[in-house]
Amino acid sequence: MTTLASSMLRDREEANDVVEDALLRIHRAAPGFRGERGLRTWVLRIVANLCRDRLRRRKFIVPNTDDEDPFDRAGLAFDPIEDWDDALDQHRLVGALERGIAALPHDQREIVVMRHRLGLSHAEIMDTLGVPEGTVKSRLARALAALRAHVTRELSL
Amino acid sequence: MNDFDRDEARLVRLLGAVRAPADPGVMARVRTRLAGEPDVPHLFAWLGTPAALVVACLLVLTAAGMSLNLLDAENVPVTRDASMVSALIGDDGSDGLPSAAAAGIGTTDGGVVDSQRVVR
Repeated sequence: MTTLASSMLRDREEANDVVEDALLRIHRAAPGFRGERGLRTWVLRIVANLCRDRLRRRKFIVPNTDDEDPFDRAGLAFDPIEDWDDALDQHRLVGALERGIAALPHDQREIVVMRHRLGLSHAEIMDTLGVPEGTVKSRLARALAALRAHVTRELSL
Repeated sequence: MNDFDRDEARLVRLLGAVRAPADPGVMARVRTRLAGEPDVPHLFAWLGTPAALVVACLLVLTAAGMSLNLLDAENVPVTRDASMVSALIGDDGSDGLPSAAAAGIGTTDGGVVDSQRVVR
């Protein structure tokens, strides 16, 4: 929940507020939960909806995509990959990648985070967001292409 | 695996290596907010559920059906009601009084009403 909220909102305090509201909603709605969608999908759907509400409210605020440290502000932590190719500076790469995620449109950002950060399947993302499979795949492909372009551009500077 | 696929695989691995640790303060705040909420009785909580809406609709339909059945069973002729109302408000000239025959007042002869008997 916190990973999704932080990745979407890029703000630690706001992400914690969303998680708090989501937990309260879950507590209130739990007696009516029938489990047909799966607990994880249901919970993430609540978080995603709350994040969208917040992002909609700050529609006219220009996002800061030039954060020197995109992790601290968002409340994210990077766990270094052990068998990484030493020729590539993974800290620099992941920093560029986070700035790329922050620059993505919201609908692409939520799908790339759900798929590659939370490990949801296409079917689970369809259930969570209520969009068809074709939309999930196309948004994901566009998001990855944009991320790749962003990282390449930033590292070549 | 070509460069394109390798780049994407690296990106995906990096994406998965980032997490947001949960803030323990959030759970404490949630508990505080839950403790501060008024305890809603189960019935009121249940009234807010979709099941309550279904039950309410069923009750309305049942009540409507029963009303129709009762109306059919009564089958009250409208004319009788109308004549009773007319009699009560005097539309039929009786001023709400029973007719002479119904009141047991007989006519002596030739249809002339015995007015003294009426007074008595």
